[in-house]
Amino acid sequence: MNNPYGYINGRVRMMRTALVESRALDEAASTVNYQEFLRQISETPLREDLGDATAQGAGLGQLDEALSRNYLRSVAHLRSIATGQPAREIEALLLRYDLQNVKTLVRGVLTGRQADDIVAGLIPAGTIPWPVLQGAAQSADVPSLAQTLSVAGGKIGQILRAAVAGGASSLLDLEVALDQGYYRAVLAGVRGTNVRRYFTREIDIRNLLIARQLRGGAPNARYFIPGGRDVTESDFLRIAGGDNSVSAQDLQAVTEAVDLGTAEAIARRLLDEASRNVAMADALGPGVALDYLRRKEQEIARMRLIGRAKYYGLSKDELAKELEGA
Amino acid sequence: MKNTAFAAAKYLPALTAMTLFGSAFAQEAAAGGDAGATAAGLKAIGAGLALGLGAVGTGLAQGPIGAAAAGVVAERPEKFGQMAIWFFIPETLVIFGFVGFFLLRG
Repeated sequence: MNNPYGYINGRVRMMRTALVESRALDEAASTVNYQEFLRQISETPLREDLGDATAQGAGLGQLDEALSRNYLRSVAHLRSIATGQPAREIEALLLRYDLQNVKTLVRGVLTGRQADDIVAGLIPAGTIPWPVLQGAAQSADVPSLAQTLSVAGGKIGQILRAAVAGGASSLLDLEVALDQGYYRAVLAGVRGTNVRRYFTREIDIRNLLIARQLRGGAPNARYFIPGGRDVTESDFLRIAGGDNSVSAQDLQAVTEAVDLGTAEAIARRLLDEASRNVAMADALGPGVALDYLRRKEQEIARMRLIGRAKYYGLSKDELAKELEGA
Repeated sequence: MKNTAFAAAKYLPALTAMTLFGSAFAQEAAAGGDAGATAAGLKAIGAGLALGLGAVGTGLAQGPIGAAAAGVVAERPEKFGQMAIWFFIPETLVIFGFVGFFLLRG
């Protein structure tokens, strides 16, 4: 009866109305050049954070900074309005960004990229402090990265350290170990049935994508992420072996997609749909915040894509294709 | 257990008002000593129930609406008027209770 999400979700719904509308995104995508694009987005709620991005001679770096600033401000605002159990649940939702950031760091360190390049790919959200992420990007190898993150890298940092200590060394081994630990932590942290249902769907989709990645090699059950609903371990091994049939009809499109990129785009669409459903069904739970975070993430990702397309003069068709996959 | 006690305590003022109204009017009717004393007493209890339950219903409805409205107004103060309308709509329940109360008293 005394549900704190009544207040929190009222605020989050209002924050959702401040997202850039799809009409404004379409208008930004149909602008003729980068300057026109900047003028167009100056008329959206993003204008408060644009700052140097609209100055004379500013480039993509300033635009990225502006978009990151806007994203960070939204996430910080969301965190500031929740206390007690809801705050813990929202923190659990923000672990998603920690996971993405740690994966970016692992990928960057494994492939020997420059620290600045790695930092440029990080998302300024999540629970790991930004200076810790910047410091971790300087790591020479994965064990030292794991060591750095184990101190102030939150739950995901500890998961990475455990994975490295357990002998994981290849990118797939590390990514799957991170996914397994992340979903275990999230499922333990959220109590709402609808949000749990969303995460079980996400686990199913992630398992399908991993199974597709494993095709052509020897299927191995250690890459399976437990906790899903429709994709069992035996389904996972079967799909990794080349079979396309799945018990849930809507997931069939992921296994039947022509390539991994298309499968990922279909997976994103399915997850968008699932997050919209959870926001509608979970009026007094963390589902509304989950949906908001997903929408905000998409808004920023699309703005970055459109900005790049306009800066480099990509054609409308090429941009439309990129946006479809985003 | 603590939550149940807390929930019950929230409705205590409305329940007290309901009981007091009912018993006060019942006593008044009984003091008359006429043949319709029992009927008048029952009508008085009915009037108390109408008002009290209307108030409880209003409280139950206004709780979550008020919380959501407070959230909306915190983000967008200009929405105050719109939120106030939604917040006051459940007041009709207690108004209906009042109507029932006066009809039974009349």
